[in-house]
Amino acid sequence: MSKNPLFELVGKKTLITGATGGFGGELVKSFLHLGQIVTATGRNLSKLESSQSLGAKTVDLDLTDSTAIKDFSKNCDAFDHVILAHGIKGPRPMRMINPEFTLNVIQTNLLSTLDLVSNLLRARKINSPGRIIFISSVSAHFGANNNTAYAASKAGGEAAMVGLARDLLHKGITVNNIAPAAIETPLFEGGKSEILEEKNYPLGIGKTNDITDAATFLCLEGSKYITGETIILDGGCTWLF
Amino acid sequence: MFDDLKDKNILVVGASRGIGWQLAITLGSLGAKVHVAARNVEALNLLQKQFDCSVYQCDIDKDEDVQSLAASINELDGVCIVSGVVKLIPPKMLSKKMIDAQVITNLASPLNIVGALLRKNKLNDGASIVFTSAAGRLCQPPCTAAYAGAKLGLHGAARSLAIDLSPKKIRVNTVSFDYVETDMIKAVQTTTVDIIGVAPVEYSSIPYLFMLSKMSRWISGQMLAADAGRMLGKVRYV
Repeated sequence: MSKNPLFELVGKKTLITGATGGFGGELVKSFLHLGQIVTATGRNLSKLESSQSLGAKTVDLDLTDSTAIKDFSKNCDAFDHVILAHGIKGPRPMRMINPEFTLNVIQTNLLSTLDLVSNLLRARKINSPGRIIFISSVSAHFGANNNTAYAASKAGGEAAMVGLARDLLHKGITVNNIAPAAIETPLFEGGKSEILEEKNYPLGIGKTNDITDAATFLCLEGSKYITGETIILDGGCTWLF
Repeated sequence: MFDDLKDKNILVVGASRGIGWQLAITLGSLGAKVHVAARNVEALNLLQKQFDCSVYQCDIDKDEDVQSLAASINELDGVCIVSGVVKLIPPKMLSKKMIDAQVITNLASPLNIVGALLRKNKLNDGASIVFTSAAGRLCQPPCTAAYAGAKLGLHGAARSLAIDLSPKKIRVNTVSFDYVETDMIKAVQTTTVDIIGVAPVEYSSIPYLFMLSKMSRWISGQMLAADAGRMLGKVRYV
């Protein structure tokens, strides 16, 4: 059986942000497993060690720090795949939020993304053909209780994603988005987790490999004609809303 | 990639040409047990000469053909319904006959196939059903009221079936394309001004493979558009 070139990833070099988080860490593992040269960024160097021990190049990078982003973009490799897996949660009732709180969520989840992509493009560090993958949340479409700032930041990311897809169409860089529901990651372990009850998900509890598989698919050469798309990854839970 | 499709029983409806023909070949190259159905059995026999697949002559608009397909086929792990017809109809020309021709083949017959397979218990637990819609986002070319209505109706149907069949972990999704390089498109194509160009037919298999494979285990009731960003408004239909 000959290898189908459409089943291969577009390139060799992958940038994964938020590698200290549940999704980011797993993405690093699976892209290394696919034979990629992976650069993993995060804010907590000690937490990046596991990625490093697996063979990823790790960079201590605070994406809310514009100067750090500029430096990083100047000195980094050019990437074929950029996966934006950074972000913070922001559960808080509406009556309890204030501008500082909201700004922190929006800055970490949205402004940082735009700043990073803009700097990478300016420094010509995203190859053509290439892939950019945003990770938002089903809350960008359906909302989530006591999570207004978070949902707003993720919905903003989706709008930015479509705009960027238009801008980069002529370069052969596709820009897509994965919108997951709650997925079993270390973040949820031990915590209160009615959100992860089996009965809420017709297709069972989501695992991190559901994210990594969707991201892998979007990075294939065969996914060249998919751009500006959002893959809703919800195990059917949003039918129950 | 997609190695889990090896030895899976997968039915491709509308395999006599275009996207379905290519999908059957791609599935065959992955080692799947491919079942192909279409009206044109000569074309399917040609396909069978290229690789080992099971051939079913079936006019999906004829209920007796659909029932006998469902009765005679193996138990399936995947069904891709790729069949479809397209006719550009200016609004003043919309007539009962013209509309029926679009809606029956593009919407009613695919649902009839799913119903028939379910009644005969031919869909294994965990199976994946993939419909083929058209132009994923909100934008449609002119003169496609009947076609687009039927094709987007499939997406609504898929969302309901996704809930109905979730106890058996059967997933139902829709993939959609804009222009793919097939003879059907060559027949209707208006002049388009675009950047990326018409997708070579090989690329059209990939969204089906994703929706069939366990890579999309947690995805059901969704539509995935592989439309080269055309619906982002980068193309003018002239």
